Amino acid sequence: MKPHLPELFRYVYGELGEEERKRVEERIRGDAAWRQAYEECARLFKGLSESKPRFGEHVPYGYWDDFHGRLMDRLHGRAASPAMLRWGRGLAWAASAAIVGLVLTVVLRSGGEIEYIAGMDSWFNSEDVRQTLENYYAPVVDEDDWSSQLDDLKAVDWTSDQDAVEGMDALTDFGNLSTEQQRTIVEQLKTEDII
Amino acid sequence: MTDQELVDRIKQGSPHDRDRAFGELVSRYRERLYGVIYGMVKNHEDTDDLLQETLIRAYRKMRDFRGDSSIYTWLVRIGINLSLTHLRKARLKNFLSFDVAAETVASREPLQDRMAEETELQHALRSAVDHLPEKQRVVFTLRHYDELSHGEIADITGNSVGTIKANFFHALKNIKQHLEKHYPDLVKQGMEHETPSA
Repeated sequence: MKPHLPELFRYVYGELGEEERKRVEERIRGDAAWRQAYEECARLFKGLSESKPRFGEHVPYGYWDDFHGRLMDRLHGRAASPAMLRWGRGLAWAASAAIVGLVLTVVLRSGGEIEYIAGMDSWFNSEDVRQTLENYYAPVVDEDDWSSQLDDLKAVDWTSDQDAVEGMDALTDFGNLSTEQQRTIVEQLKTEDII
Repeated sequence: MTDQELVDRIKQGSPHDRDRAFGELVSRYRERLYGVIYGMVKNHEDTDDLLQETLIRAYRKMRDFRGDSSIYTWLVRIGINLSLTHLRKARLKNFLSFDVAAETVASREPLQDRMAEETELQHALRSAVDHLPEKQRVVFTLRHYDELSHGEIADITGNSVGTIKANFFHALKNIKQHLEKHYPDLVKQGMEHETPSA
């Protein structure tokens, strides 16, 4: 006789009444197909019972310690729910992205960025700026024209305060010359018996 | 203090009494509720959120609780409904994000961690339970893991006892078929080693 699985399952789970239970037991004893089906059901039940999660198995250590506090805070509106927090973070991100997008749209649509870049380009290429930059980065004294420094130094009257100031300027210029140029100037000054 | 007395205090007590009674009720059932919700969503973060939401809703709707069922089955009903809504939203989200791999909401526990602690048969059974259709999984989890009666599960899900019995039977049958299909060696091995007495 073909085993009736719902009845067998209910038998294994102990859900049958006295009469039904006895009837099933008789069939299990007297019918090989029922017995085999029962063995399978019983083994399944045993396996399922063993696979039952242990109490608190998935709960992280210390989870319950502050559970009540967190729950009451949320209940009385002192704390946002995790879902709200996630939503809030999403909103903040979306708002930032929207602002950036808006600024880019406005700039691109108005062509402002092109004007700005073009403006920078022409400013860099303007004669005034070019001259300023060249002056700034160019050597203070032309390497081939150091005779003026020599003349300046010769002209200094070191006994006069006014001249001394100018002399210091001349020395500063002198300091900016190459070692070779400085040596030449010093030799010249010695030759002329200035120093 | 009985559950009913706690419920009465939550309904009629002063704010301080209400909070204390609610705290007591929570400490009685939070672990079991956690287990039921975890059985549905399969990750701690979502379980934590849904558990808190369940309890807060219960507190705010306590006046609607008429006492026809036990407070626990009422709490489970709220928890199950919230979990199902959560699962449906997550499935929709996965669908919209074209995330084919994310079949379930849950970030499942690493397989190796679980395998290390349980036998192959236990793992196979858990996997079979996880693959059950949603309704059968709810019924199976409540009946087998939470040991609620068919009547209590009928209360929770709003179905008849007959439907619950049928769902439970189909769940067991599906588990059996899943094992036979995906773990045939395991089934054979078990048959050879175990012979329960009738």
